[in-house]
This record gives sequence, C-alpha cells and structure tokens, in this order.
Amino acid sequence: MNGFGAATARSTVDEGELHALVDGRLPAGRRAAVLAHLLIDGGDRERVEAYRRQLAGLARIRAGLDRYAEGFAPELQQALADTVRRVRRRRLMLRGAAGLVAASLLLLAGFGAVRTWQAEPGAVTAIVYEPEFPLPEFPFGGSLGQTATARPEGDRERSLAWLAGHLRDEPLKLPDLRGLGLVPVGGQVLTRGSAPAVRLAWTDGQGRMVDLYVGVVSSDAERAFTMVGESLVSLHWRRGRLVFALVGPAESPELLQVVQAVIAGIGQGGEALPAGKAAGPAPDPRPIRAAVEPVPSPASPTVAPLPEKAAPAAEPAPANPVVPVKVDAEKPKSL
Amino acid sequence: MPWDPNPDESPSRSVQSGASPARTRRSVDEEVLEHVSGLRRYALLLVGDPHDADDLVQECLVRVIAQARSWRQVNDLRAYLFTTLHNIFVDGHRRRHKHRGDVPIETVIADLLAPPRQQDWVELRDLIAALQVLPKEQREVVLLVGLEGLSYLEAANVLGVPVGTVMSRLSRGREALRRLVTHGATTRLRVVK
Repeated sequence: MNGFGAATARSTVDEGELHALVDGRLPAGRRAAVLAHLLIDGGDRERVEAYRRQLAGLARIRAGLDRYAEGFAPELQQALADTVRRVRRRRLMLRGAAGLVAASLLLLAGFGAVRTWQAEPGAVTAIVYEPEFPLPEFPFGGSLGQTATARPEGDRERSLAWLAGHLRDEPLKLPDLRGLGLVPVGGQVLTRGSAPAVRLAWTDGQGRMVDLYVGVVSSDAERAFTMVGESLVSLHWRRGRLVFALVGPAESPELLQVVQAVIAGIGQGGEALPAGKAAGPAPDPRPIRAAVEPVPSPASPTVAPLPEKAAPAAEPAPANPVVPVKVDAEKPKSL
Repeated sequence: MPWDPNPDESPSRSVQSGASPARTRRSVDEEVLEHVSGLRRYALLLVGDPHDADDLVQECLVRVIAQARSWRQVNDLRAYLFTTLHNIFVDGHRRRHKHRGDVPIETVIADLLAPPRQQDWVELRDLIAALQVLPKEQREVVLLVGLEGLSYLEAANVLGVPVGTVMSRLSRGREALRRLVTHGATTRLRVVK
C-alpha cells in the first residue's frame, strides 16, 4: 500500500485522493488523473473497489437499521421526556427569577426595558426520523458485469433521448469516440437501478465492448456504486447530477484514452442532449432528431420511468431522419 | 500536487462558530431528536451492544438537552451531538467494554436488520464483525464518514483531531477492513491510532 499522503513513484495521485474518489469528494479537476492512475495501477484499483464495497455494505447496514433506529426504547424515550421536562421546569424557574431581578432593576434604576430570556417552546412529542445525508445510490443496479458482456439490444439514440428527459437544466454532450476506433453498437435504458440511467456501448476492432453508463441522480447524492466482474475494469465519476461508469476489458490500458475522451467530450463537442425535455412514458419516436435538436423546456418537467422493454431493438426509420454521424463505414481500431 | 480535502471549508476545528437563525424558530428539543436515529445507528456499530449503545445515546441526549442554553450558538448541531457522544464514549469506553456481553454483535444486528438476502447477509456479517475488530479510533472514522456521511472536516471536528489524522485513520481503517473481510475477522490487527 502506498504511504498515506505521499505521491507514488508511478503517478502524482496520493492516498487521500483515492479515498476522496470513493467518498465522492474528489474535486472535479482531479478525477481524470485519479481514474487514469487506477487504470495503470491494478493494486490501487483493487483497493478502491474494495473500499467501494465497504461503503456499499455500510449503506445496506444503514438502510437495514432504519427500523431499529426509529424505535427508541419506550423507557428511554420516557426518561428523555422526563429530562426535558425537568430542564424546562428549571428554565421557567430561572426565567421567573430573572423576571424578578429585572423588575427590581426597573424599579430601582427606573430606566430602560430589561429583557428576560424566554424559555424554549415546544415539547417532546415523537422521535422523528429524517436521514441526515442522502444514502449512497446504486444508479445502475447490481453487477454491471452481467450486462457488459452482451450487446445492448436497445437503440442508442432513443436511450439518449429518454435520458435527456430527466435532465432539467444540465446540458449533456456525449463524446465522439470514433477517433479512438470505437464504434457505437447500441444502448439501453436501465430500469433496475436507483436512478434513471442508460447504458451506451461501443466496440473495437476485436469485438471487445466498452460501456458507458450514465445516470441522473438526486442533486445532493454524493456516491454511486457499481460492481463489475473480474475481467472488467469499472471507472466511476460524477459531474453534477450525472454519474458515469466506464466499463471495459481489464487488460486494456488504452481505456485511459477513452476516459479522457469521455471526460473531455462531455462538456464540448460530441452529441448534444437537450436539457429540459420531459420524459414521457415511451421514448421519442424520432430518436436521432430528439437527441440533437433543442427542445423547449416545459414549465414543470416531469420524470417518468421507462420500462426497458419499451425501447424496441428495431424501429422504423423516421420520415426525415437527421443523422448526425455515420459511423458504420469507419473501420474500428482495436483496444 | 498537494490535495486539500476541504478546499471550501474553514479550517476551524470548533463547531461553535455562530448562531443559526433558523434554529430560533424551532424547538431545540425537536431539533435534537431529529438526530436520534443517526446517533443510535452510529452508537450501535461503535460499541457493538444495543443496550450500551442506547445508554450512550441517552446520556448524550440528556447532556445536550440539559445544556441547551450553551449550545444555542452551535452552527452544526449534528456535529455537536456526535462530538458529545464521542466524548462520552471515550470517557466510558473502558467501563462499557468491561461489561459487554458475550453475544457477537453480528448476531445482535442480525435480529435488528431488515431481512437481507442470504448472500448479502454473509457479506454484511463479515463487515460488521470486521468493524468490531478495528481499533476504536479507526472504527469511529470509518463509521462517521462511511455510515453517517460526515465530511472529513466534520469528522475531524467531532473527534477533535486534525483532518490529516482523520484521513490517516480512514485509510488505515479501510485497509484493515479490507484485509479482515478477505482473510477473516480473526486476523489480529496491530493497533495504530
């Protein structure tokens, strides 16, 4: 294990940054470097995944203990209420004493108003359960390894358009990975996770798959978890309400370039997803145009989950399709 | 490049840094009670015994409510509550530990948890057992950050240590947990605070 706080000989990523990545507290400017480091350093990657599993376990324990934590033992609750009553009675007595002193001062000095402090209002009625911080989310469902080995059956553009419906004011642009020899092969809406999410897949010249999972999480969620199989690498990061997971073959250091392209391409270039488009019960029948054309924002955008089966693999071509890129003619490179 | 774990936060280690205007509109008692579930959950995994945990929380609440006047200036009530609980825990740790029963915590928690799937339960049981083997300084940090979601600075405030110490304990704690879960909770740990 690397010494804490010290940069490794192999990169400038330190131990604190690895934990910050796990905890969702890594500054955005350092994500690319840390993710790149994890691609190179299998030992650190394994540790980070183990720490993620620990956090996921703690999240499950926390969720499982909700029922326990809500029900404070009646005798303890009673004892607490008694204590509060005692404290309140003492405060009232003190207030009375303070009032007497104040009155005396007023009488003696004959000037100004002397304020006496007020007892706190309220009473012990019930113990309210409110989560103090958002639970970690599993936006993509369980293990990604099960899906990452097969081509998604759905349509990529329809999936993108569907995800765009869940974004209100945060524009999203997906990177163009053709320069890295990756050809898009499909996409699908994910319905097993805790958040609206899609999977987008590319393949290289050898038929190996690279998957980008994109999810829209609640605004204050700090963490997102995924699990993958042993032969796969999973890299995670977050930008605003969007969480990303890039999954690819473990033995492909070229994934670093993919990560960099994805991170760089999210903010500029690539294929734009319009923000503010309401998600309907089914994908937009004009998938490609919907993914690239700006759509006026509705007054109250609604968010509705879409069953995965609602996105058919084969769909009729629109009357006037707008095809932003034609990728099939390009010869894919190998990862 | 040196990394600042809390670039936007004040380096102040005090939780008493100013009045919260919103607090005056609500009952202090109600505000305290909102944090009971978090305190109980944290205390249970910290001390490993439900009765000790409830005693700890009870003592914490009584102390805080009884001193309600003095904590009106507290900005972060949750951190203040956890700090109080931490202090009581540290003060009475040896006494409570001496009286702890022989029932393993994972067995106790099994009765408290909502029934998970078998595979999930095996993993959770290992994690709970491993947590109890950690030195308490590391266990506190792992739980405050991982279970209760405190920031590194908040955890530092609660424990009264520098942020660097929190991160060091977090790193050691997580690594120890990883090894314990991998090799079994019976592995002996060298105590490093």
